[in-house]
Amino acid sequence: MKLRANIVQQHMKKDRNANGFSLDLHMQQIPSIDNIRNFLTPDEIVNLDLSFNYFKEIEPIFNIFNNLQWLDLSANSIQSIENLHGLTGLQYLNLSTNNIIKVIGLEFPESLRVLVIF
Amino acid sequence: MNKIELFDVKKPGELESLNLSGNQLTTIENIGYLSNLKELDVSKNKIQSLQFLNSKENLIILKCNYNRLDDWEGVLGVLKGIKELEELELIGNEMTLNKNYKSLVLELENMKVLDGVPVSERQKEQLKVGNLRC
Repeated sequence: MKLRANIVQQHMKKDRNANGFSLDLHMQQIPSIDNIRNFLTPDEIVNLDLSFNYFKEIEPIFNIFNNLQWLDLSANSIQSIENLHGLTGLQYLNLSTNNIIKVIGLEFPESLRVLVIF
Repeated sequence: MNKIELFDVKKPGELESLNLSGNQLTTIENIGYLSNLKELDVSKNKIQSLQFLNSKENLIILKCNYNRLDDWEGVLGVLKGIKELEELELIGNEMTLNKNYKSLVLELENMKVLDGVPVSERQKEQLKVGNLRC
């Protein structure tokens, strides 16, 4: 995987509605947040698109995005919904086209308004 | 592709919109906890009964296309309890083959869009008159 700092910077956009940035990293062959961690300023990101990547799980490190409101993890290989408790402002979560077999309500943040898992 | 067989809400939540289409669900456990739920899409699952929606009076949009609903009396009973329901989709369920399907469903008080087609007040009136004649 050849993800460089400038790729992350290129895909950061000031979000008009929220006070923060949108980061669109769909289809970048990313298997883990560790691969991009060093290029990020997680506090600033309110919208995060990681669809069509190689995530196998929602890693505990996802909680560094503590201002996240919108998260798209569709089209990865995630098997369960976990480690989202720190995302206390998350309103939209998309986990479509993963490998999820069961969902138990304790797994998603209370702030969530829209959940999409087709 | 997700193949969700079990969805258990388990605790109160603020969810307003839930899309679980294209899974393997037969029901949603404890959906009553989602007291703000306005929109539910459970199309393309294995749902045979809408009993799990018995307490969901404030649901506004329900999409349940391509499931296994065949008991239209049971389904209608549940739908009558969803007082706020405005949009309903039941395409591809056996119960829609019943010749009275449309007129029965349109008796629901607030119905505005059935199977993707807006319903006018005039249509509702016509259906009522039609039913009386039968």
